[in-house]
Amino acid sequence: MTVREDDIRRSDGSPGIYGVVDKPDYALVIPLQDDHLHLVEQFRYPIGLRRWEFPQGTAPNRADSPPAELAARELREETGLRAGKLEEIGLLDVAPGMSSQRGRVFLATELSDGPPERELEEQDMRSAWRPACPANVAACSWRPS
Amino acid sequence: MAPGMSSQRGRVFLATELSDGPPERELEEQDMRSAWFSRERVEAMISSGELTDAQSVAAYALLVLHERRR
Repeated sequence: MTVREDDIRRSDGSPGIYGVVDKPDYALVIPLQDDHLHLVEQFRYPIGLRRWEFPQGTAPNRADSPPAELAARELREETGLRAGKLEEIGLLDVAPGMSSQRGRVFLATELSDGPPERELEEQDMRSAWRPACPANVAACSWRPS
Repeated sequence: MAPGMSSQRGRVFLATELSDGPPERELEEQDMRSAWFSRERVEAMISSGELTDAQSVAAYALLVLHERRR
């Protein structure tokens, strides 16, 4: 990750500065099986809270690796799951007002279990299945498509 | 917003009963333009990678969940 501050000139000619966080592309994986979604929980230092989220990550050491490969690796490392099918379903800009980082979203199905291979930074992580459609939400039918 | 790199958090609001007026954009927003899009078009833009702002995509998911609760 690098942080830079650029001198910029707006379309009316006025000068300004823009702070940008550069990080390589990330991959986010939605593991879906039997109407359940697999989430991971970890402590997010910048907000000081443990939060549930979809498995996701950036290639280590700023190496740009093929998105599907990165997605499969993040899923395996963070949850132990192996996906028989990995389908790219979208592109996201994580915070385009402050970072150049872009991410690809994958739907993972045909999943099989295995041991997680978490990184040093992920030692507090836990993972679990959550219903895609909680019982207390009546007309719940939305799914990633 | 991006809890792996920023402490910033945001709240999402649904605005209805809208009336028109002139924008009062800040200096940094001088290149901004705005337009109405049908829901179908917005969904197509998300799927095709034309609308990629993570906050906007997340907020649209919140709108769908909000409408389902009503």
